Amino acid sequence: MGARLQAVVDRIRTQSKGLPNIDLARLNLRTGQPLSRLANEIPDDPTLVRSAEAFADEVLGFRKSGGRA
Amino acid sequence: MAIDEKSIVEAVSGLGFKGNEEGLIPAFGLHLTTHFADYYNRSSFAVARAMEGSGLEDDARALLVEAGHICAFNTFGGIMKSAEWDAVVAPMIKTREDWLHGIVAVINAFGWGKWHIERLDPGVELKIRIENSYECTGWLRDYPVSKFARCYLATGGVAGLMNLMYVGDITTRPELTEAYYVELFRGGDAFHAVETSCMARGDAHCELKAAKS
Amino acid sequence: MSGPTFDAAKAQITLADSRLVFHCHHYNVSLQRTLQDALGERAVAIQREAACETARVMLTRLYAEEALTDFSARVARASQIFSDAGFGRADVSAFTPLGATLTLTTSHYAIGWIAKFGPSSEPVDHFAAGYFRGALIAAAGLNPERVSLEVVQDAGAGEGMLTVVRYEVR
Repeated sequence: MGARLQAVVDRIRTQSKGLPNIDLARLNLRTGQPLSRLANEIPDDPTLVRSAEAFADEVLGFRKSGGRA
Repeated sequence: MAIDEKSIVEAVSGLGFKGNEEGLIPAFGLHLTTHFADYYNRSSFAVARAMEGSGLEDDARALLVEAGHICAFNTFGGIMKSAEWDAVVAPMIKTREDWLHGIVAVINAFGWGKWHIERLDPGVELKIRIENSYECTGWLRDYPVSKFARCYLATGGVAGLMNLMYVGDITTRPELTEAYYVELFRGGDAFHAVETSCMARGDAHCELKAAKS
Repeated sequence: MSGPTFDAAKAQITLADSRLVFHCHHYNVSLQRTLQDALGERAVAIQREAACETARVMLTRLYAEEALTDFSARVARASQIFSDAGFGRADVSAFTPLGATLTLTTSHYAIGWIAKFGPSSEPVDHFAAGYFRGALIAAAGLNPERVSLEVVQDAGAGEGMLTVVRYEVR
């Protein structure tokens, strides 16, 4: 359950160049799921995983975002 | 107390910030606006209310407060490095803690409501009381008494004051860069604020306490 | 014409009974991004509606206080308040009670967004779009439901771009 989602959360938590807790709060709001707290209990739905990974790429790339990715 | 709040408020409110020929207000190293409290309140409360009951309330609150941290870092920090600060406030400063009393006096010219330092334990704790908070007057006009505290901007602002003073050192006039922001707000040494009383919850006034977590 | 008034005892600034508060571009665009993160596509409509209602209510009171009855004078007053408050420079020469086109030659939100996050592929100045919808409604005394808007171009797309918003009156 949620191995890929947990990996996304761990990646943000350990590699954030900003404030990890804030990046994780944004991840939760973007995906509509409390991933930072319950990733390993939430199934790895492909759409959800894609959305979470896209957000992680955006925030960890630290590129200036043109709004919603 | 060396800080004469009344004269600071008079001086800052008399600066007459107004858009230039481009309709912009460049000041303190940023662009200011004289914005509408109703716009902020409708926007912020839309986020907070939409998330209530979703399990993401704390995430929404964290981001609304984070906007307040960003505001404090840039606006308060920019002001404390400005020529206006040097002219109006700096001559009154006798102690390090006067920097905080000075910036709170400046804040009282922003239209945010009346801030008052209830307690300052240098490097340890700051307690601020706010009368007439714009966030709460907006909430109480449009919504019933709230279960939750609603001064998101002020919560971030109070923590930001302590981080500027005691995690970083705004008195040395550092560059207010993204890296410096992260240095001040990321580590275990960062101050965080909680709103212990809030008019939106039915309390007589708002009270916020910043301390290290 | 009256400007904002400051009440030191309450630490409160008002214009036509609406509270005004100083804030910087860092806060403005950070709060906007929070709305987008939390509310997704709904964030745009919420911000435009908040700006529209804020402007409509304030301007309706202001026009009464200042006994402003002429449509063009009302729109010009709304534009002046917008610029004085630091939101940018607006060309409102193409405003009529039957429809309007807004052109912003400078936009606080676009400049702030680009400085903080880089150019945006989507419009960012929802405040201006909504504010001038409210101004049109108040100036012409229209039912808000009759006025829709379309952002033709937004300065958040990059340096040197204009913001153009078209308002249709049904």
